[in-house]
Amino acid sequence: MPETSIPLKFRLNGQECRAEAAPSDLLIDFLRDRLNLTGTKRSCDIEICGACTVLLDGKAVSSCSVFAFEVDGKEVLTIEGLATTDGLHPLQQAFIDCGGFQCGFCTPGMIMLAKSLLDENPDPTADQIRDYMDANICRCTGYQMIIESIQRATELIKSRQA
Amino acid sequence: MIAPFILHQAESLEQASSLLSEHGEEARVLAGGSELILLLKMGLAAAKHVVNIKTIPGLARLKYDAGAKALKIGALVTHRALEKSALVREHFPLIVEMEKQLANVRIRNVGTLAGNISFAEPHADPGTLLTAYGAKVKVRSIAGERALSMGDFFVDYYQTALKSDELVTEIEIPKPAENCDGVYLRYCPGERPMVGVAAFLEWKNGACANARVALGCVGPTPIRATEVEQSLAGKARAEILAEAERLGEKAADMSQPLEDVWGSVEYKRQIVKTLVARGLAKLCGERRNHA
Repeated sequence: MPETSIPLKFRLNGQECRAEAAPSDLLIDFLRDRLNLTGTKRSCDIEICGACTVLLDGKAVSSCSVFAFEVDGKEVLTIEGLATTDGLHPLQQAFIDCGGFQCGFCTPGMIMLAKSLLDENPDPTADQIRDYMDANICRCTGYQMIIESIQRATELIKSRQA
Repeated sequence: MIAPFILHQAESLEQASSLLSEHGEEARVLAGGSELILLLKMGLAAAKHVVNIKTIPGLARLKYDAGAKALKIGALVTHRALEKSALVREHFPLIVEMEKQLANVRIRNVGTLAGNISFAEPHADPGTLLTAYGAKVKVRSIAGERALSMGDFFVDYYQTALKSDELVTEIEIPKPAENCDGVYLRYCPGERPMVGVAAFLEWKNGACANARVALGCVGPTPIRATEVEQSLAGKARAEILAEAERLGEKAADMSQPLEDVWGSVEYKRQIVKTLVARGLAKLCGERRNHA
């Protein structure tokens, strides 16, 4: 059964974007294969691990389990949209400074989930970070450094705003 | 890969209902998608037609009806919206407690309460708590609307009373009486809860006037532990505390868990006993950090 493509108009990493997707296309495949944004990773494929986390209208979602057509009229932010011409996002810098990754496969998802945490709560306690980041899995188990990275990022953000 | 389907972006409940009526078993409703997409990916559900109801205005409404003393949760209200709602926190704090623990924040951001119960996944939190609250599920088809109790809504493992042309439009939760205390406890060693226990005890003149105890994840559907409820009626706090272990055993006997990778039947019954005893102890004022 041929699927009719759906025209989509949305904001992708701050830019207007027009593209087409079939109804059954998943957001992760749309991002990686159609738009060549391969920073978003597929891992468990069942909404558990969080490697595929992107922000849809500011909310963290598993792109492996959202249809691509749902981005129409919305704002999508992926790991590729964080750095600016001024340099890395404070979260990216903090993950480098604190060694917040080992193999790096979970890192884009971790950083995107951390972004949604800091957007909701700019100054979380270590417990609040643990509780929120519990959603994502690091198979290298480098959790402590990930928590430290997020704490470091809150400081970087505050110092940039000061 | 998900098999191709025809997407229908419903603009009204009427239109969604007539699409479901037209396509019957070949159509599936899409709300949050967190259950449906998993099942489609795994090949456990098939859909030639997907009826997207996110495009229907008004279904994300969440309101407290002060007259009817009931929370009305539209079909598109997400777990996260319930978790964050000041209104829900004020009148139904246990809903917030339950939602905060449900799955993970990514799933709570997209998944809806109505969608969760519509799949009747036996290892889920909401059904247990909704059963204890005495919630009602409003469903509709082109033939009209009907309201079902949770006991009538859940039929079997992964099976509800929803006909192929029906969809859930609203969940209504009555506010417990002022002199009523509630508790929701779960044991969740993996991604999904292994046991859930919800209980409400209503007090009158120092005795339990009315009890509602629900057990979840330990059988085809959440159940009311009626024998436990009957034993609680008329008893004072001290009496309940003295009998908590025995009542926990009674609840465990009523449960019908299946053995799986997470534990044996005996093990799960032990957890039921522990959680019921612990819940009753909490409701009757004993603070303890063991058992």
